[in-house]
Amino acid sequence: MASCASEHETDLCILGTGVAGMLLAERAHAGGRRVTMVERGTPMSFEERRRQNSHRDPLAWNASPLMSPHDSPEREYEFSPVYNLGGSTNHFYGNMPRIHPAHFEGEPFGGASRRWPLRYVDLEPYYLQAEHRLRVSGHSQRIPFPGRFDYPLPPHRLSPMDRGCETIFGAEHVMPVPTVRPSRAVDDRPACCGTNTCSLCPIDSKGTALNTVYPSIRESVEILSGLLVTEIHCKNDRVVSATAIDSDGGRHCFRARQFVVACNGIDSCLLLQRSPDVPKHASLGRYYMDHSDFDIVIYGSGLHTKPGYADTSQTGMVTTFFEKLAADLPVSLLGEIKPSIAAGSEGQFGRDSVVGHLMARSLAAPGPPSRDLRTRFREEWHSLVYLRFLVETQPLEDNTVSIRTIESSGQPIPAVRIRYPDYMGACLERVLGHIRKRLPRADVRHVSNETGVQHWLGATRMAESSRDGCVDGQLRYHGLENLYILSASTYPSSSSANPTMTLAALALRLGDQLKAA
Amino acid sequence: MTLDLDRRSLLRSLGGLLPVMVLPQAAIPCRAQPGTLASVLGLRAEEETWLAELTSDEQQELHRTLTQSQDRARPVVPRTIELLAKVLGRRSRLFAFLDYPQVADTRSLCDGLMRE
Repeated sequence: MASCASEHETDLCILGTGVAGMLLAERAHAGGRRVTMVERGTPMSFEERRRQNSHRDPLAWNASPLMSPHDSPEREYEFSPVYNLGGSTNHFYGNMPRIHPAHFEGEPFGGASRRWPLRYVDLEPYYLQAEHRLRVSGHSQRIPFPGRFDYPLPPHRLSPMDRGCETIFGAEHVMPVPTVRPSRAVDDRPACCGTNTCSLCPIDSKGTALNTVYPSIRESVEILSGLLVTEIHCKNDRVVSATAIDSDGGRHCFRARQFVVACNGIDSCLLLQRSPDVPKHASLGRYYMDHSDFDIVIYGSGLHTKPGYADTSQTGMVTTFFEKLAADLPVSLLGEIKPSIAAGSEGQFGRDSVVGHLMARSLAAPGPPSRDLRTRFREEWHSLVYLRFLVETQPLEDNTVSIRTIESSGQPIPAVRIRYPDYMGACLERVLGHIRKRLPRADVRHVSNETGVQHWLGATRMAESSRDGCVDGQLRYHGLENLYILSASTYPSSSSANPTMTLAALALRLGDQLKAA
Repeated sequence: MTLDLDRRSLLRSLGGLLPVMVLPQAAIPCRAQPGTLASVLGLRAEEETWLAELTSDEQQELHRTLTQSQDRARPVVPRTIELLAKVLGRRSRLFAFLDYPQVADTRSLCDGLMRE
């Protein structure tokens, strides 16, 4: 092996400094472990991000690419991670629901097994701990399924649009969305001020790895940034070292008793794929999943929804279909209520926009001519409901992540092939039908779809056996006794829940396991 | 010089002044002159300047479109939306048109969603 510019010997080596890696580091360190973290990105402060108005990392290999072959030649899969200290929580919106208990035990539906090798009850204590640690705001009684909930911060108030949706979906299925956009000032962070640009919170209110966990580990855990891990080396069923390169091409070697790959759900897979010593299980790089969603607009609902009024960018969620849509369509949908339609607008509208359509309806509204346009437009506006449904995606064997190329900088470029579920249309029709039944006089319309919302799941999936997965229920890589994968790439099913809360819980659970090792 | 007003006349004069003195200006909406484009839109007198976004031909066109359709079943033409967007298509105006709180055209820090 070529000589190394530096050599590091540690107890627990964590590759990646996203929220999962940082939570693990904190827990393991508290348990007496000596921890080293290796990060390809740069430690950028909040002020630096604000100044440049982006999370763009200065290192060349961190320019986020990334387009990749899609299911058809005309469509590329967009992969746009944040590559700097703190990872994806820097730019996520901060919704933190748990996965439904039923989703841990799902039967296959058009794809591979959706069963997790752990149960919801195994993870619940860690959900509670992670929610406390990350200061999640939520409602501890108004919950999507029976279980223990104890959010440290109160929920944001439901918006007028949320309350309107109670009429459509039932109050029992509309509840505050758990979120790290705080409802109160907490620690050194102000309360969310509802600016609705959460991908780069302008006041550093939204909880991120950097402003929640990093302050407690920065002095106690060795964090080495600007180093891209390129290979994991193994011998006799153990990882013996990992090699990283710096921006000058210098090599840095890490030895540890245990290693944890805690990169995002695509890069975790790529690192394993590019390491010749790592066993290549049949499922490695397969069963990749990303969520899709569809938007529905309801005009003329007859409800009083006051679009634009809400305490934060999303306050309410719809859980009617969260466990499953129907017996014959046992897939999960999670509804997001979007009162923010007005907030992001600079006011311009065209005839095909929602506002333009409201204006057209106002012009066509029946009634005496003495009712001026303003009166009619206000009525239409206040009757508007905007919804987005995240849809569970299937683990399909032919949905893959692989290495397309490795650039001269050392950055691996992924090739992602993903075919989205063919039940999307059926899901949409069922939801539209559900709403139309409850609001027979409203104009309920599908307005848009999005495929690939940047939830990178499944490419190193969990299963008890190496025949079916890459890691076991303890996240240990099959065939290597001291390698763990702490990434949403381990999820065997996608649910429709945003993945971060579950990943945080898995991190703390792994921390307890490794604390004892 | 003394003003020769009996007590009743004086009180009557003062009473006529009181609503103007006591009530805030905003509570007395000054509506545009009936029959005008501003009136058809529902603009207040101080909002009539918004119509300056349109040429006088465009104003006439819009007025004609909005008033000739007693028959609201007629389809709305895109041009009408286009003209309305010229008048109302700024954040400050759209929100004012909705009687929402006053906002600037461009959002500033923490200026996004509104709170009840």
